[in-house]
Amino acid sequence: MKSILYFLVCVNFLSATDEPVFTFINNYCTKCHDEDLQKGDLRLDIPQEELLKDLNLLKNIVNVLSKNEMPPAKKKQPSPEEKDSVIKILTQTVKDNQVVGLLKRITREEYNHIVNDTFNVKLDLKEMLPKDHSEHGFNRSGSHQTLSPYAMMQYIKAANYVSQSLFPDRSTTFQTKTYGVPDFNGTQRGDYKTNDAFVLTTNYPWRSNLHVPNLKIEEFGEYHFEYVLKILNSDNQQIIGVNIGDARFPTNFKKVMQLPFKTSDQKLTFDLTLNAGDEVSLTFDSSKTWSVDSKPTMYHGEKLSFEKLTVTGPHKINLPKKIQAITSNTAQLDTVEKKIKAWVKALCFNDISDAEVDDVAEKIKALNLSELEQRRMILEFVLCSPYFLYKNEDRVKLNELDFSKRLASFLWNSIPDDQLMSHASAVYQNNTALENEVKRMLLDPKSDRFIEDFIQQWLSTDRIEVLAPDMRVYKTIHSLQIKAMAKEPVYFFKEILHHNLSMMNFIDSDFIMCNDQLSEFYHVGKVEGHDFKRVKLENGHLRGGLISQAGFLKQTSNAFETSPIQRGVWILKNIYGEEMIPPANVQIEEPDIRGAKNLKEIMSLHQKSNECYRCHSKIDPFGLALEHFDPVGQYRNEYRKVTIIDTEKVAFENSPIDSKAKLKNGQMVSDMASLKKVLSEDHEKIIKNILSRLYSYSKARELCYQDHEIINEIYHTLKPQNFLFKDALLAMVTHPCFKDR
Amino acid sequence: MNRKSILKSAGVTLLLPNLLSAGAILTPPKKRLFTVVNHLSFYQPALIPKTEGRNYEQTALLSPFKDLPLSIFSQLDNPGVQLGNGHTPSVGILSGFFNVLDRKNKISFDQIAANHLGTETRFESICLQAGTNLNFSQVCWNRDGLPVYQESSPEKAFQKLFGIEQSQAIQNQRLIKEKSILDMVSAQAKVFQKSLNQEDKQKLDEYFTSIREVEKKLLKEKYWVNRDKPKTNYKPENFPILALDHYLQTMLDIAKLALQTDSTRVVTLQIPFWEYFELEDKKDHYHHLSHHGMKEDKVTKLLNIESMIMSKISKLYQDFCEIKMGSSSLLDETTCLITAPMGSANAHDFNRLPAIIAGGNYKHGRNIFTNGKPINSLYLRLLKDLDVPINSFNHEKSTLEIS
Repeated sequence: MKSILYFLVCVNFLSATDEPVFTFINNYCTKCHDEDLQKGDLRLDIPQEELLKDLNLLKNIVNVLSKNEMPPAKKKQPSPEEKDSVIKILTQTVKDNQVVGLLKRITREEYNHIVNDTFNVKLDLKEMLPKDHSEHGFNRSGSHQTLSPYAMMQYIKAANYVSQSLFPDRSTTFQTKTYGVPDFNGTQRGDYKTNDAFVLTTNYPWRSNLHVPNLKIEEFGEYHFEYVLKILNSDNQQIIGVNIGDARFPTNFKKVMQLPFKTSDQKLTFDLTLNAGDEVSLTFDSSKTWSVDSKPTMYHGEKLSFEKLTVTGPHKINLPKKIQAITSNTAQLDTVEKKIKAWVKALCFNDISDAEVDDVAEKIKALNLSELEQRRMILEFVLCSPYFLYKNEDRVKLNELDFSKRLASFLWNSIPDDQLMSHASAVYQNNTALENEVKRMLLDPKSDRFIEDFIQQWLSTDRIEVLAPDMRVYKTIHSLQIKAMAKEPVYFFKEILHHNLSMMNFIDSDFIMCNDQLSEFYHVGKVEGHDFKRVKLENGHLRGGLISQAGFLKQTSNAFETSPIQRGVWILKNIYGEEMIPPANVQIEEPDIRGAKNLKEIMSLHQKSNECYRCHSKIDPFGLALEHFDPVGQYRNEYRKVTIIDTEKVAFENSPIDSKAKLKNGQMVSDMASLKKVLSEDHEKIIKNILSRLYSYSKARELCYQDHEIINEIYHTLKPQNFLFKDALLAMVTHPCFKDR
Repeated sequence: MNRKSILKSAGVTLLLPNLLSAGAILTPPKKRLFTVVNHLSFYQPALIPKTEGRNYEQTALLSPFKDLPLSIFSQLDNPGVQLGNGHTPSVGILSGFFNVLDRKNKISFDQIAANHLGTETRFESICLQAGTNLNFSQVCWNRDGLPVYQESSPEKAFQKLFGIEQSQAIQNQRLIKEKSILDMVSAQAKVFQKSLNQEDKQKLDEYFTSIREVEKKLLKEKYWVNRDKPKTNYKPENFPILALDHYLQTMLDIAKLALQTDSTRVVTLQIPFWEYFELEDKKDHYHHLSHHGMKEDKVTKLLNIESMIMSKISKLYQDFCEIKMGSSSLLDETTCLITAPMGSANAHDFNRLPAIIAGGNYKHGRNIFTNGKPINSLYLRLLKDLDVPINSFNHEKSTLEIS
């Protein structure tokens, strides 16, 4: 009965009969949130129309009321019924008036993959386009995207680059070239030549490298490289970096791959798509030393000895059948109009009206272009067209084509392949067909793109490699270990997804994923090789789960100190899914948290102010509990305060760590184990958060109020089996709401 | 920040350039920026006066500037710098940031100025380097964090300013094609828009706005393609590639020409990492001298080089003074900065940096010990005074006062 009444009240949200809400606000809110006090910079004594139009404000009000954060404990409290009714009314108002899934554009990652998948090439287009930002939520969500004039310029430039590379004026001349030791060059820092070998000994950044000045890439294309080399003084696998850039000046190098190499391999082979003028060089990334003080010839450590290089290319681009049908000389596409229609269909999958085609054709014909120029022009036009750049989904429910496009965008960051297109109807109408297709798509290596993109945006893994650990303090940390740390969450997620393991593993697991570098770092026994493998952990091991991963612990620290606050925020934001917004009007003074001072004491100052304590009561204990993990994620027994003496020397001062802290509910945490226990108890919130992230990513929009019910539904269907992850993903895509915008 | 302001700041608001004729049209004075970065820095005991404030005592390296008012800052901190290998943090001098493990950076302050001041000139900025060593030489970084190409060849720089590159016909063809594409997609977008709901229609506005702005940019490009480049009698001379003084002089000449012809209003010149060089027929090793270890003879030789550098720069400033632009001089209209990425090249100390400012219509004359203030505060002050509408540079909101 009550709900019908409130529904009637809410239908016209400008109605002056929203009495319960305004009575409530006048009774419990406006004493502090009025013109005079404006606590937290917020006024609630504003006209009704204004208040009800601000959906974000309403959401905020519902949020703080539901969590009992407002009114503050010491102030007059509403009755549970009063509170509930207001929450209900405001929730309904938001639901009725919010915009769901604003117009989405393809991200630059998608742009890159779509072009490469369509034409079966490996162009590097990402850096030509401006970055899509994702500070809050995913960058594929329309409400976070913008399209600036600069981006438009770059789309034009990128389209031109694509058409010129794929359809150049001259046909390419395939060549085979071989180079020997006399052609090899380095920087004479740690490298040397003998009669029959060029030897690299060091990994001095931006210096040590092997390049071939005579190797000139004259035209765009794919080139095959084959180096004959062996490893000296070691039986271990080595990692060789492949870089592009002017080799005389290695600070310009762009690392494009890191390849494992074993002596038994004898040859290092790889393919690179290069532009005219590109230069390729190799670096010895797994070298254990940066410089060789004594003569490099006398160095007894591992070395790489190069003998020969063979380069072939450019190799002919094998355009897929779909494109060949447009580009080959068939009589069927004899008019400009037909060509335009064909290109639009091939890239955007939809048809455009004859009127539109005629308009474009007229403009192209007016330019008097050759046939090849015409083809390039049409392609460029399509690549800049709103039909290509935007995803025009139906306002309420997606059609078959858009549903398939959504699946491909979600799981592959790209467009549907021929097989998915041929099953588009079945997949739309039949859940079994849908499940089978999704399983196939997950097995396709293209699904790695989704996992890498999702993890990078969810856990901000790109920050892991931003800071290099200070060599004076962390003498044994190798850059390959840092790189492995950045990949660990991806492999972990992949393992849980592909093997349909429980999502509880994100909180704590009895295994980790690591390679040789990372297993050494974590001291979990020896893993062979550069590839990541599952390693079982003994009972009670510190590691396991997301919050014990070195990458997280490192990215939330700076060069010498950890930041418990950053760690607490990371956990609350990414694991719990809480919105973390710093308070508006507070001058936050940078606390000096260098080792020796009692950090706990300093952070307890947060308790002095209600404004601070609201969030810090949650943040601080989580961070403090992790203080036994140093700035690179290793376990430590004591704080080590670092004082810099000069560019070579530092001094340490040790002091004890007090990592005990009390949560808001009175529970104590003090270390990784107790913290994981708390997370375990909160698993409902956490699992729902992970499901929500996946949902938001897959639908390319922020969650709205209705979605929380769907997440709840999915959560409960997964509960009996303990939240198996692949099942979760399948439950999500087969849910009827997945077809909704 | 609402969408429109994001677009405006990212886009190009175009005013077709005013005719450049000295004094003929009353136009408000233009603002310009000229930055010199000396990679191997300066021997600070001979650069920074010992007394603070006005009436500071002259130093050996500043004596060439005795008739030119300067503002001298020292002890500046570069907040983004970490211990890098050798010289690597030097690439962060103008951006106040360096990411050691990646080849990317954040936008440098001169490029922010270029984005803003460059809308009326053929070139947004000209970045030069007086030396061939490109290692650690990127000091100019664009909005995507990628290096802006720094021209090390005087011939190519000269050609860019005064020579004919691609034929006008080819360039015009390209512009016509690009305009055509914009027309086609614009027409398509109008159709596309019809199928959208209200909120999505508004979102698509970005697309239309961007197209319009790019059209303006193409118009601007077309304007410059079909407009002759300025003429000059100057000819860059041939000089031995190791002749540091000739190299520097030529690049300074080119910088002057670039500003004088209003080809650009932002010029950044780096004297990069120099190893072997020739000066007055003597061959030596600049890098080795910069590691003087306090040895007197090395310091003397080092000061020889640095005096030559300062002498040439001060002569350039003198020339700026004598070049009339309307009712003011080029020096008044140009904020001139000299800085270096190391406080002491001898110790590879990337903090305690010096910054010397001339021109720009400031009331110069003070020597200021900043005691570790961030250099980004100075950059922010300069940008604000160049009328760039920003409130912070690389997270720095405070500014250092100049006059």
